[in-house]
Amino acid sequence: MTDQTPTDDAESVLRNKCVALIHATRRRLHELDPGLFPAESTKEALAILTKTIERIGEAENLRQARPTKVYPALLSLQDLIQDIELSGSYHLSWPLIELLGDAFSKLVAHGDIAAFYATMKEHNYRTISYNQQYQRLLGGALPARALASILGTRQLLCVELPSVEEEHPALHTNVLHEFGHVLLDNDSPFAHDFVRVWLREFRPFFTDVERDIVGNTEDKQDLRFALGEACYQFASELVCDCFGAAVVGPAFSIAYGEMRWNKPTSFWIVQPSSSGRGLRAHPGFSFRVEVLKGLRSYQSFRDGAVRLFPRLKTPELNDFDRLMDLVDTRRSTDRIAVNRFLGIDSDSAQSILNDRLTKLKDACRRVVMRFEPLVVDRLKGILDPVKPQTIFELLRRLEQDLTPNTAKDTIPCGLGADFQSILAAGLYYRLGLLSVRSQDETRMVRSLNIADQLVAKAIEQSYVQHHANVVGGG
Amino acid sequence: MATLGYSELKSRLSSGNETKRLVVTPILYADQLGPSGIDIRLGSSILVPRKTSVGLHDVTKTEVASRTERELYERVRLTYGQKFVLHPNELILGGMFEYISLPNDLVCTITSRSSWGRLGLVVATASVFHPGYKGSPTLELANVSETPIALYPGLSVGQLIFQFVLRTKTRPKAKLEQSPEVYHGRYYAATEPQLPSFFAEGPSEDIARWGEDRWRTGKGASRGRAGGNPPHTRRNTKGVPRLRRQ
Repeated sequence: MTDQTPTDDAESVLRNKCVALIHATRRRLHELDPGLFPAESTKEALAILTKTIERIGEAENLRQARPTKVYPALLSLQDLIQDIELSGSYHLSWPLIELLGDAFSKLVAHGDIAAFYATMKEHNYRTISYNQQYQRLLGGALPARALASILGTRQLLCVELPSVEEEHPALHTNVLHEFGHVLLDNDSPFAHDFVRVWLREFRPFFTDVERDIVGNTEDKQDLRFALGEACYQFASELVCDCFGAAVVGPAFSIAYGEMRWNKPTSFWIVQPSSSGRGLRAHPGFSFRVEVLKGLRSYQSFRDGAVRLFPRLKTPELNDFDRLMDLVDTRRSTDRIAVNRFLGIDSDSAQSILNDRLTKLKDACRRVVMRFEPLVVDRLKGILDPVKPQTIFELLRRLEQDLTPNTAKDTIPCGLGADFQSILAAGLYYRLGLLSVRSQDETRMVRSLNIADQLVAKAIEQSYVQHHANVVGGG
Repeated sequence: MATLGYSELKSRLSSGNETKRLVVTPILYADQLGPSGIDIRLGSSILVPRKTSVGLHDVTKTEVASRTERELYERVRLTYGQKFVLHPNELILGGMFEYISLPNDLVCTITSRSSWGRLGLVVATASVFHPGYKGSPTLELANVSETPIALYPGLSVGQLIFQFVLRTKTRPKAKLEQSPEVYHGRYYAATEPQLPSFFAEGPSEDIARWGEDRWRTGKGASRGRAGGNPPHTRRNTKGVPRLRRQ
């Protein structure tokens, strides 16, 4: 008889399962072709995964680590590998990813942060810190020092896009909002400017809130902190919307609206964050659209569009204001819902915020109005705002079933339209097609399909035009 | 048949008159425009046949034809600079980089460039594009040599040749667009290489299915294209389909 206990046997089985899974994971990683990644940073993420699996598989590590910790970490690793698998050019419009990646690197302007792009099942856009997610998921499988040395000092982000919209590239305009988050989270001077403006505009609001929070016990302090964080995030979401509007103007509302159709428009939400740390807070959709309409970048485009769009052949595009009203702004009374799992007195938080909703909205509006020029300034020379005349010309091409890669065909073609103009024109045109009140569904679907294809093609063409003329020196 | 020369091509490409305007976009360099044609490039999207998954491609079996077509091809999206090796006797479908729009009085053909032809690369086998056609044509690229050929997106592989279409009647533009004189078929405005699509419309191929039992018995007559009487045909008393005069 041996002196092994049943627990030892079970642990041995689990250890062997780990070894088998390490081999399978290694093979899965080797099968990935780095040549298919549209962003260089995806290769970095792949390298991190490869190093990790090698390190986990080292005999010494396997001897020391607990299989009960390693096995779940290996399972989590499969999700991270899936992110990489879904970031190949089969799933993503690579010219668009390259263009976005180029804008991103100019915007962040230092080499400590890189982003790669992946699709996800969820119908949403979000940016996650790959490093943080990595540490959270793999913390048990490797010593902290080993993990830190694999990750290095560079912050790697994963921008996730909805896979269901692969065929609808114009919707990726929503990535511009994510750029705002990246700057607020990683660019200290920019974030400091924001905090300065936010504090100034929210001070009267918090003075008022103090009337309802009596005492300084720990739970009251937690409540104050959570309310502050929620208000910060309400304002930051709106400021991130400014990034979209500053580049593509009102078309950003359409892109955002397409993500929100059929969802409640009046609910503001405060809930635990998906990473398990802190909270996430989002203002209601209707309010966001309303704030966007008040931006200077929105109004200056609108002024041009109101003058030009009546000359388009498509009747649905002629009345610009009516077109933009199609972005769903129906609402009842706005309400803020505070999730019960935040570890605070959520009922009090909810009533404090709802009682002051008008003041909260005013404070948010003031922050956005004051901060918009800083956003515009930050984007200058990196992503120029779209011009009504260009969008008008591109829409005329879409009306004729032509690719909107350039405002006017010339020989040779020159630089062509920038990708943000192509996306914006695609969004207006698509909204026009969706608003046609016709019984002929087949025709409508075919027209939408054609429009999406033309936009995707135009992005590739304009990318090549740019490289042929600027990079290639043509 | 008159082929458009350099000056006429240039004038058509820059014409402000929508009914006369020819669009080939983008023309990256002025020398793409030749004495009687325009050079075109391979795009980034390619459909590659998967020979192992399909035993037979019988386009008369409408119930399985479209599924077979999907199973038969794998879509590959190349980035610029990425190599694709076309092996001997291999046929692939590649999207053209340029997008074209033909006015109602021009027809266009795609031909290989002579240098590629000498290497054994055939660029287009079904190469005629009718008046009114818009889209990025699908190139049927075949390697008929015995040496593999490396292809890259952006390679100048073929050329477009344009010719006038003779019309005896002048129709108003609006009427012409609805008429059979201009193209509004299944590949209209496609920008990616398209899978073959049989029996989607029109009766012309149906003659190939005359031997099918259900036609003789008339079973399933109400089932439309997948079974029963082919549209545009009338039955005589002996049950043999007769093509309707167009």
